[in-house]
Amino acid sequence: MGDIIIQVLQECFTFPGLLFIIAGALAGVILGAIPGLGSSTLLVVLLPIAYKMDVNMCMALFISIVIGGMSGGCIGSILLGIPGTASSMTTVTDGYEFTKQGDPVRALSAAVTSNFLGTIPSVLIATVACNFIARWAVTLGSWEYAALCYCAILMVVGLSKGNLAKNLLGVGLAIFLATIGTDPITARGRFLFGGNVAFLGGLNIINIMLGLFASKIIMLEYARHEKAKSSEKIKVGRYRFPGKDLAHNFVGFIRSWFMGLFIGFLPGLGGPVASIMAYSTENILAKDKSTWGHGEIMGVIASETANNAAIGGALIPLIALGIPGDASCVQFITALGSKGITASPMLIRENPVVVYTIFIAALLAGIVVFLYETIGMPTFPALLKIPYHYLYSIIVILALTGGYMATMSFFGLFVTLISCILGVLMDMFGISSLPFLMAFILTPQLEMYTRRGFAGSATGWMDFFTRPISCIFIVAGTLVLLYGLISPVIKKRRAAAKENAAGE
Amino acid sequence: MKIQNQKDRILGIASVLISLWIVMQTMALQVVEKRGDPGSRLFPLIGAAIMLICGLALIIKPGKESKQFLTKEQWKSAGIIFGVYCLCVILFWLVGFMIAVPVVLFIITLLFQGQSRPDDPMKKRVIRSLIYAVIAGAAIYVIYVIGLQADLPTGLLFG
Repeated sequence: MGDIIIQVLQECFTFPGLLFIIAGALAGVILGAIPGLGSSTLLVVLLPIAYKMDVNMCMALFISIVIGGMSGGCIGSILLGIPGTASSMTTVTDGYEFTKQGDPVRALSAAVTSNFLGTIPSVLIATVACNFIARWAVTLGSWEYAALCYCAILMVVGLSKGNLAKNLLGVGLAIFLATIGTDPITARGRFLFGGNVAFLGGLNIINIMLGLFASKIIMLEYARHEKAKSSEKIKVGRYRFPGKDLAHNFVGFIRSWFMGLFIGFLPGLGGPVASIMAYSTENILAKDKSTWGHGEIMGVIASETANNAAIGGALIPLIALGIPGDASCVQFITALGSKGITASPMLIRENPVVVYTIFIAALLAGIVVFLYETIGMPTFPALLKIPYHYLYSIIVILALTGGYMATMSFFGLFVTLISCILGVLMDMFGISSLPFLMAFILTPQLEMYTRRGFAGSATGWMDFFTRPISCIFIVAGTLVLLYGLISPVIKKRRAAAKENAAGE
Repeated sequence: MKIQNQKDRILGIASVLISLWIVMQTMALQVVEKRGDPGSRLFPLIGAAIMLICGLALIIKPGKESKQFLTKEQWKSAGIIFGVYCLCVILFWLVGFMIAVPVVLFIITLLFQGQSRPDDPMKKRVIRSLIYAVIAGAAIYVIYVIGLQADLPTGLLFG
């Protein structure tokens, strides 16, 4: 392992290595700061380029963008009162109050430091945990892998925001779309729609994501014409180390960090849920609640620590099990797939350099982002003034060129355009895109392992329940789905009971 | 209440119809018998079953009212951008990447400038978009074709 780490460090400290990490981290911060875009848009439009890049450099670039994007999200939240990313939604509540009171530096300094302290230990934990979990996971059979994929999909559906029926509907559609193309067991074509060979390779996930995210976002941004508030009048001074704020809220900080790491580990949740949970918990536990919502520094620390700790948490299932922890992990799996590398428990054994590049680049990107955000804090208002019209036109071109490059055919572009319409329709009907995406990416594995499990078993489906680990995953996934089904009913009843009690 | 109820019901009906179409398509698949393997039809049928059940659930019990997704004007604007996407695909096919990129960059930049800088005179916006389209188009061409050596469409007319 020592040799591998030295090799990775040597690669990361070459000119291209450092360039990708620094450029990725800074681009992530900028896009994270701009409300409506986020670093995931950049990742999506860069996916087709992954075909042409060295896999290690590609992973270094991608993880740097993720780290930068997660950290940059707080800038828009604190200075404009508009979250740059969904993960920084709760930062707005208290962070923006500091700007209104004329002291944005205190909130920004606390956020930037919490980002750094949230990221670095979580990545270190992931580095250690992945080894152990992957070693255990390679001993599992087709039944367990199938059950794991089933569990991951249902967890995302059960824990996602919005209507459960609609999210499940998205999963059903994704399962069908993922079965278009060559059958993984018999190698015969399915759903070729009149023998069209273009469908043989299936629908490319890159085309789907370019349409579902990048193209759709630009389309809706233009349609809604939501001009961001002006940041011209905001002035930001130099970084002030928030030693007092952190020391005063140390226990809450640690609690938020653990919460972020754990929630990041659960498939499909990631930064947004981590920050909401951490913020709510600290709010509930606070002795003096009167300051919350009016500029409570712990609100900023909790949100920003948890969402960054979730990055390390999400890397654990991605690398150890091949299960994406959040939407950006789906993009990692896609990028790896474009280089012929399958994300599975064998990843760390077969491609250790790739895996350790992700970890080491994440640490370096965390440092780069922290340095930029501390030294360059006075430049934050300028980030929010970047002319949108130039940025959007470039994204459109990257998305459509990428749509062609993903399959090197106009069929890919056609899929991108259809996915764009699908994305708009999904938004219109309130269908969450994450369960759809998760099901689309996991269905090929789920189908292959399920059918292998059936074929390799004397008792048919019974083996899925008689093998303990497989049974645990199936039960866990089903329970989470049931929780998603029942929890709104319980919440409704509780609210009604509270209203009744208040009335009496 | 009406808007969302109707929307959810439409979604439910569409979902049921699509699921029935998937079932029909799936049943038309030729199955290769393999010992123990439940066959190629299993997963498409699972997808269809999920869509059917959820569709029926939405028809029977639609959700509550929600705010309007886009106004009529906003749908028009979205349609314009989608039209530009389609134009880009046609230009890729007809005249190739090198010409399509600056043309689409120009149109998108001009459209968004209309929103972000509405007070600027049209002439100024056009000139700015034109300069940007040429410079950014050249940069993208260098990155993709020379840097990444990507094999991009040269166009029916020039290929």
